[in-house]
Amino acid sequence: MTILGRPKPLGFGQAAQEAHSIAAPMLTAAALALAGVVAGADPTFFLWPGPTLLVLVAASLSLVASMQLHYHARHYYYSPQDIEAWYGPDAHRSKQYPALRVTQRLHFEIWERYIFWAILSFNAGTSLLGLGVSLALAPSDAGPQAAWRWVAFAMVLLCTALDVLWIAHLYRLRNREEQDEETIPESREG
Amino acid sequence: MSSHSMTLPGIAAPSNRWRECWGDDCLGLIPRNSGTDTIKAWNSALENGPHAIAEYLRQHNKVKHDPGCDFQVLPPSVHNAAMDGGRDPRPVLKQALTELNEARRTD
Repeated sequence: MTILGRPKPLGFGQAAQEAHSIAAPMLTAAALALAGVVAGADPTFFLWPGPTLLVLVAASLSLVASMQLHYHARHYYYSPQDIEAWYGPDAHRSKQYPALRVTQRLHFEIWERYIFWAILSFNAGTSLLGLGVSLALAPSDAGPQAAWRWVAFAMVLLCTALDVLWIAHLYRLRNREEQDEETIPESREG
Repeated sequence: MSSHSMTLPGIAAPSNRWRECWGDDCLGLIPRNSGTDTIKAWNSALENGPHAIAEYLRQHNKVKHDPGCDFQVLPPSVHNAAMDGGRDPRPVLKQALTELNEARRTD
């Protein structure tokens, strides 16, 4: 029987759901609110108001894109329990069940395609947001608060760099897991 | 990984380098980018007879399929071409199997 489409690891779908439906909207709101502050403030308050605005707007657009891609992908993400919920508890005994499994698998592959881009957008958005926040913290003059703002600038920049490294680490980890899964002991000559 | 994903902002996307075989109960991972393994090269091997086919599969078919998978003798390019249609790829794979069996008989 056709293998059903399923996330790898199995908890991935739930994690993606939380990232895109909880974290992304909040981060988008933060990016837009900060962009509003920078846009409305006296340009002398910020060291680089133009680049800061650009990075913050890019972050919010990227996060909005991730939400939209996720929302579209979500249409195609369902489990065998969903099939039973809609077609009845005996769905797996029905004549249509093999066709339903095939459809689930095809839909799952669509989900995989869109969630891949949703996550790239989310990761780009969080990284850009960190960069934007750090740019907004850089002081424009050497006033009494400048040292504090430079420290905050450095802290946010450091955390953003760590986030980027974390993302790179997760991708490397995933690739290693895949290589373990895809061991090639012998070729098949039929 | 999912717990990591929820505690830090960065999350890893599912792989777009592989897709699973559509054979019954098969978990074989088909590489999306099959390099020099193309439909054109495969068709050329089919035309050149059983030895060319065996050599082609030895070079290009390194996927670890389930031992009972019907489609294990097809190279990744054929799997990919069948899966790219957005429909059930099994009829296309079965057709490719028929073509392979015919090509093997024509020596």
